[in-house]
Amino acid sequence: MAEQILMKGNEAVAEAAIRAGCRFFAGYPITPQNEIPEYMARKLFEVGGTFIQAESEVSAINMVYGGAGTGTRSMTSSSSPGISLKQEGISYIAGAELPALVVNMVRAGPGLGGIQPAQGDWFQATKGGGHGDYRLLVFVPASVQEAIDLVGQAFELAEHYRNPVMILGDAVLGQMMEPVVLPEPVDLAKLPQKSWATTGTGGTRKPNVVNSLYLDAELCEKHNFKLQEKYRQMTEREVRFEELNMDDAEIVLTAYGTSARVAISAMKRARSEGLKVGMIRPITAWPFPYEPFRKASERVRAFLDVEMSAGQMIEDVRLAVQDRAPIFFYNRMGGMVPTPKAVLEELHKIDHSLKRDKLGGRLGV
Amino acid sequence: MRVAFDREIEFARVIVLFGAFGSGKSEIALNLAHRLRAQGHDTALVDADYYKPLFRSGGFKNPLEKRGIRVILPPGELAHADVTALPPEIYGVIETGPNVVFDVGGETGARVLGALAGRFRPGSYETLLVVNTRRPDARTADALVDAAERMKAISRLPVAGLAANTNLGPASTIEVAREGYQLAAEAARRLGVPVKFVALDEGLMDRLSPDDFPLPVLPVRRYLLPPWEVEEED
Repeated sequence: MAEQILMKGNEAVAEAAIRAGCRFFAGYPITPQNEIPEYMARKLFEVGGTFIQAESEVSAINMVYGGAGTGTRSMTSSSSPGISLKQEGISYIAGAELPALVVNMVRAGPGLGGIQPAQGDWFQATKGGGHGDYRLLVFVPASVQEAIDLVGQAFELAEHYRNPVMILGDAVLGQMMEPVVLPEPVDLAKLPQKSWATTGTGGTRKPNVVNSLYLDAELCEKHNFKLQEKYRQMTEREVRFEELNMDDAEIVLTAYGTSARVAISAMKRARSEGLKVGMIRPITAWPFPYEPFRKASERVRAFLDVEMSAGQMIEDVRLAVQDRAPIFFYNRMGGMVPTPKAVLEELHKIDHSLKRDKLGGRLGV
Repeated sequence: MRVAFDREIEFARVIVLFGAFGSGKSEIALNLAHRLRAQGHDTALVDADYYKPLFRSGGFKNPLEKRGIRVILPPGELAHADVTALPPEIYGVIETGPNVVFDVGGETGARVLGALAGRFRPGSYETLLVVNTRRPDARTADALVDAAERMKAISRLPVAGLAANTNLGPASTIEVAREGYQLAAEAARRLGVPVKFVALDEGLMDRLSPDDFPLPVLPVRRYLLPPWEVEEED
């Protein structure tokens, strides 16, 4: 095994991107993700790549649109308000069917909000923050190592589907340090040729055109059907999640990213206190892992969803669970992170109320 | 002043911790401040790391102040701003006043020191370059020497010594610390300064044998934990 080193989430994402072959980065500073552009500014030129601090987030995402058009592995990163500014460009990149990586280290909102961790951008990431019928493949890593691994997959899958991929982290993931092992760098010469890239014809072929404009409605509809077919394939092949202690679980915790780490701590303590608690942790926010929730909902007594938002992922959990089991919710907002102790207390409350309902004969639907 | 680690060590009144970001300055600052206070020294901690929003030593203002350690941070909400001004007390504690541990941000953060450099009086302070050789860009003695040169240029202060802080967070071992100490010692030799001490996770102290390190070892409690590892009082 390669040697372990200690890395901060933000710099790990940047290093993983370089090792995955990223050779173009455009961005604009915003806390709490500044270590990503800072690292890229220092390191990208060492491997022959290009770093640009753009004049705004809008120009940064459009530079990525251009970089991706040439077939260069391209990325941008920002945090919530900056990601809002990039939405038009993300829609264009999806419409033009180009691969790119967008990293969002989420901070508190709405508006400028604050620079502390939050998870209020789930809707924006998974339901289309920009206009039109497009989807992003959205990864939600819960550790620095997982972020590194998913950045590598993100570049591969972005090219496979010719679609932008998002890493949705938060200020804790970006700022925390964990021991990690880095992957070997990708050999760029061995990557498949990109027949669609705008790299110059050399007089041997028709020019490639990068475009998302279809004035003919029939053609535009055809284009949309093609995109939808790609998204259908993603929902079949790219769903990722982790199940913990689900064999005998009676209460199922669900959370992603930083909240998942808190929930795992709470689950361990709950287990040691005799509660049969399991967990489903989505690793892809889109496509969402509906199936494990649906399956669990047929046998477990309740779900507890923990988020650093007013309740966004919970809408997907409800779609999966429907009315087969009660779904409880615990949240913090505005930059506050739930504590394992508070989540544990919620689990005890739920356990208590379920026992009471059972005695009263009201459960057992 | 003399401070006891596993053995006694002499420090100047103002201890300035600088070094690459993520090298462990804040963790060492918190541990030094607690140790100084526990020995009865009048102690202040300056959190001058205006660069990172989380995992800052100043985040422990309340518990530190409960123990009688003065914490110098921008006032109120400004402590959480992403760019901020220096609170005026900084000048006072540099020039006179208590024993001070100065926690500075990484390379960008060290610019704060550059602005304050003229205030430090020779003999009253010492600068320690904190190094963790399991961090990127700190993996060789060459890299450490480069980091020291850059830090000198940015902070406009000399490097008086090194603090060998090689660790892997929760995956730390004595072997990893020893490997890091050897690189730090080589870099220190080339810089013509001493390695002042080795920092070691306090959980490893009972496995330490007297000949592991030929210099004082600071037992380090990890304060800057992720939210899910923080033990709450019931």
